[in-house]
Formats: sequence, structure tokens, C-alpha cells
Amino acid sequence: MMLLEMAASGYADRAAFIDAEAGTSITYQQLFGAAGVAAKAVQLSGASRLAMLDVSSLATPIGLFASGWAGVPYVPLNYRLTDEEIAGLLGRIKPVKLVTEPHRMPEFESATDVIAQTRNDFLESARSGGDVADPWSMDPEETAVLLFTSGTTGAPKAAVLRHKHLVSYILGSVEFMSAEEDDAALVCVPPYHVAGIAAMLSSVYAGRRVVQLANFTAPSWIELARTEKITTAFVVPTMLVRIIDALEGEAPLPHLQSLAYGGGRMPLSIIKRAMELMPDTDFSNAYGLTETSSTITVLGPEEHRAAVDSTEAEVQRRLVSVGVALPGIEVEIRDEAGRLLQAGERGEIYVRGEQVSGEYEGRGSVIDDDGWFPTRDAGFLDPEGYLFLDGRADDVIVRGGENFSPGEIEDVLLEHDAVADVAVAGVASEQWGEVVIAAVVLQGEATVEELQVWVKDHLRSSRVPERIQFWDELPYTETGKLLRRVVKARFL
Amino acid sequence: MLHKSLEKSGAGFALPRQATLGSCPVERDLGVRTSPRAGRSLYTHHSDDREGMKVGLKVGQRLKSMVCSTEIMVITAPDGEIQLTCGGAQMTDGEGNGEGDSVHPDHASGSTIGKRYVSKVGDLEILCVKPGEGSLAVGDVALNLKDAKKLPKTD
Repeated sequence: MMLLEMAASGYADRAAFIDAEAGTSITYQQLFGAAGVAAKAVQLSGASRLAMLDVSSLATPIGLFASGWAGVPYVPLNYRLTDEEIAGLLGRIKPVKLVTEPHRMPEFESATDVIAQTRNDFLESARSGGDVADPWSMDPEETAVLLFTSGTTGAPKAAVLRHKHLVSYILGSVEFMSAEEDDAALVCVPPYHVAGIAAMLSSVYAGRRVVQLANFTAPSWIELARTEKITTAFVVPTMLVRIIDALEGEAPLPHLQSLAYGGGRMPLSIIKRAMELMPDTDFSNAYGLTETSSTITVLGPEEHRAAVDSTEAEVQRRLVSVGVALPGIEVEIRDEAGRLLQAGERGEIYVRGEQVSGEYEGRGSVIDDDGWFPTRDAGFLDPEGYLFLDGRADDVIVRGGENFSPGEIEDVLLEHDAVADVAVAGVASEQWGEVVIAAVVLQGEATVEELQVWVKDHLRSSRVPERIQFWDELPYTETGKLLRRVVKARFL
Repeated sequence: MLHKSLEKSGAGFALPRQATLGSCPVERDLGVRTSPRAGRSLYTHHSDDREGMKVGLKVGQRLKSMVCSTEIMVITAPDGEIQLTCGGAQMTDGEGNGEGDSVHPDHASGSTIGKRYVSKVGDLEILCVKPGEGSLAVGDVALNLKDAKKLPKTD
């Protein structure tokens, strides 16, 4: 709330958020007031959390700040989950005030401890100018946000982000009121994605208008980028693929100064093509996790260009890295025994910093005694400190006593002209323990044998996928994550 | 019209590895004062009474000016105890006093919202969260405005 209070003080009448689909907008001062009114309603309801089960709208920032003001955690929920899954999550956060879509309301009519309200009702009363809640607590230890992370096994874990983590992240990466009057950010990631929350907070603190696109399609994204003269945006890689597809042969986007991406692996051919199509746009690759309040390492625009312009393989390779750690963040690579590894050695990525939470509701913190958080992501550092990702540590394939990651095989297959996208995984084998399989999306002609020979020639025979299937597309979440377990399941 | 917010005294970011030196709440019990001017209340402003207590600061701590509307948050705290002033008077983590006595002319260049102020050696960094007429100093040495560095765009 301190961030919003400063914003409302510094640039009260600037447009803060614009809901492009609804055609509505709100200024910083109005947002501040609405947050106060909504906070009072939350407090009166007796709810212990404010949950939002809806696409992005003006209710999203109002809900985020209102919950901070009211002193309860903000819990954006994934609306793509099944009714049963949603009911399960709600059960864990009761008594909860829930803001949601009209068609879901009947479900909650008789629900105990779920005080449901439609988004429009929430908006109307928040903006009606009633009494605001009492002053907010300034306790940085209070939980600001609860984000359920999708687990591959068992129930989703609720990652805890406290005010201190979020404020630390924002103050470490944004200067107050640093945005120009004309700056505009396009947010099209779902509200339950930590990057969306980070984007809202940083835009508020910078004084940069946020234009919300609730339902992403490449044509509407491009249209909005033009009409709203968007200067900065964040997308997940799967969105960028569609955007550049739709931009081929079209006029450029002259206002787009910077485009950041993250949340999943960016294929080399895609980022190269994007840089060719938008040479005046600064690209940044941001790596981070929900548990680290989003971004911890960045590959900035100069580094993108340096990699493309370089003739040295070492520098060129950095285009597929996720860059170097942000100030205040430390990154280490460790093996399974927890031993520190050297540059070039692959292991698990550990991170330390003020913005890192690593805490889950009901489970405590997984941070070790020295403050290090195990990301469960595999990767390695190059001698200059550039971080390269190598899939999840859990995705390691164990074949004939050898451990290797799907990433190295995927990287190699992506170098083949006919391969547009690929997912590699291990499936059980009596003989080997596990064998390698691959699901390939083609953009040309290739046979299974050709691709197998390709892998053998570029890596070695133990890495060759025993089975390859050709699919039209790979399964991704809305936040851009590859669903490797879905791929595996289809090979059984 | 902004909402006045209450402050929990002593609230601060407690980092697992950050040593917290000294206690922060300003003591009204005169017996704890280290200043030779024992017997004078900290909140009595005389033109020559600019000495205050040295205290340890905590990252995330919020402090208010006693002589103007300035409020700050500690971003980086030095080891040891220092005397942080605004407008020439000791800052407090209790109720501020925007209507207080006038700002000392030597410390009147103002504090701007959103700007960061640093000590010469950089061991102290302060963010101004509410503006005011007074300017920030450690003892008699004014803090400098920090260069707004170019931060990488991440969102």
C-alpha cells in the first residue's frame, strides 16, 4: 500500500489501469480510494483472504491493494482448473471473500465461508465512494499474496509472498515515477501469474499506465499495441510465437520500446526472428519463480544484441541464457549432495536475496540456514555469471545409470530446420530404467530415423530418443510452462 | 486527500542475516540518553539543541520527521548507531510532528517523494515516502541524492 500511496500522491490523476476489453479505466487516486472502500468491505465480511477467480479487469489491481489495506492475503486463482480443484483450493483458504464471474455464482450460494460477489458488483461498490477502511498495518511480515503453484504430484502448494518480499523486489528494480507520461504497459498474462502481479506493482510505482488484455490472442495483442501505443509488455514464449507469426508481413510496432518475456523456455529461432521483425525493440529475458517474487536474473537488451552480433560462440550462446542475477540476488549451482559446483557444471539452481520467500502456507520455509532457496530448476553458470536453464531437476532422465536432462536433447533437436518445438522426457523401461522419448512439432519434413541420427551425431547414442511422435502442438499452461508429465503420459 | 497511516513502532524488515544493532524506538526516559544534555526533552527544539541519540537502524524501518511532513524508509542500514535527522531534528519512529517547530535553515533543502538519499560511503540509503521541507542528514552531514541508475526492465 505504501507504493500505491506514493503513486496517488505523486501523480494522482494519471490513468493507472485500463481494461481494454471492458473499455473502462481508473486513475491512481481513484484506485487508492477504491482500494480503501473495498478493504472496508473485506474487513466487514470477516473473510481471512480475498480470492479472485476471474480474468484480468480493474478488479484485479483494486483487489490486490484492497487486500493489503485490509490486512488479508490476496489469492488469485487459476480459472482454468476444474470446479473440483477450485473447491479444494477454496476449502484451504476459508473464510474467504471471493470475487468471480457471474456464471460461477450459483455454485457458492449455499457455500459456507465463501462470500461470493461478482466482479461487476465488486467494482461498482469499490468505486461508489463509500467509507474507506481504517489505516493499514505497516507490518512488512504480513502475507501479501498467496499463489498456488501447480505441483506435478500431490496438492498444489500455496507460495507465501510477504509485503517485504514484494516491496524489496520493486524498490530494487524500479525508480519512483520513472515512467514518461506516454509510457504504457500491456499486461496479458493471467492474474494468478506472479509476473502479472509484479508488473502491476512496478507499473504503479513507476507511474506507467497498465493496459489489460484479459483474453490473449495475437491479433488483439497487436491491435492493442498499436492503438494504445504500448511502450512495454511482458509475454510468455508461447505468446511471442503467435505474435511474430501474426506480425510477419505486417507493419512494425513503432512505439514498442521494450518487450520482456519469461515463464518458460524461449526457442532460439523465435527470439532471433522476433529481433529481426522488431529491430528497434529492446528484448529482455526475465527468469524467476513465484517463490522469488518473480524475476531474479535478466538477459537485457544490450546482451541480446551483443549475442546476435557476436562471432564468438561463447557470446552467441548467451542468447539462450536467462542472463545474470539482479543486484541483491546471488545464484549458485549445487549438486544433489549440496556441494557447490563450478562454472559449466550442471546442477540445481539455488538463489538467495531479500525478495526470495521460499515459504509455503502450512509447510514452512524450504530456505536453508544460510538463506539459500532450492529452485528445483536445473542449470549451469558460464564463467561470466550467465545462467543457463536445463529444465526442472525432477525432469532428469536416468538411463542405464547415466543422469541427463531433457534440455540438452531438446536444444539439439531445435537446431534441426524441420523442428519447430520439441519436448523430451524419460519413460520407464525394464532394460534401461528409463528411455528417452520425444514429441516433436514439425515445420518441414523429417522422419523419426533422421532425427535420431541427428541426435546421435550431435550428442551421443545414449541420448537418442527411442520413440518419437509428431504432434501438432505441445501442451503448455497459460503461464507458458511445458507440461512434461502430459507428454510422458501420452507415451505410455 | 491521503489517508494518514499509523505506524507500528519498531516494525522493520528482519532479515535472517542482518545484524540488528541497538534498539530503535526513541526513548522518552531521559535516563537512557547518551547526549550530554541530559534533562532536556528530545522534543523541545532549541536552536542549539540539535543533538540527539545515536540509534541503530533496521532495513525497512519507517521514520518520520519531527519538524516537517517528511517520512522515510530505510533501504540500506549501516552497522553501528547513527543520528539520523531531518530538518535538523532527530527522526522518530513514533508519531511524527508535521506541525512542529521550524526546520533548521541548514537542513531545509527539502526531501522529495520517491527519491533516494545516501551517505557518502553508501552504507546508508533512505527512500523518501512522503515529502517535506526538511532535508536529511546524519549528524551535521547532509545525505546526497542518489543517482537514479538505469535498472533493467523486467516486467
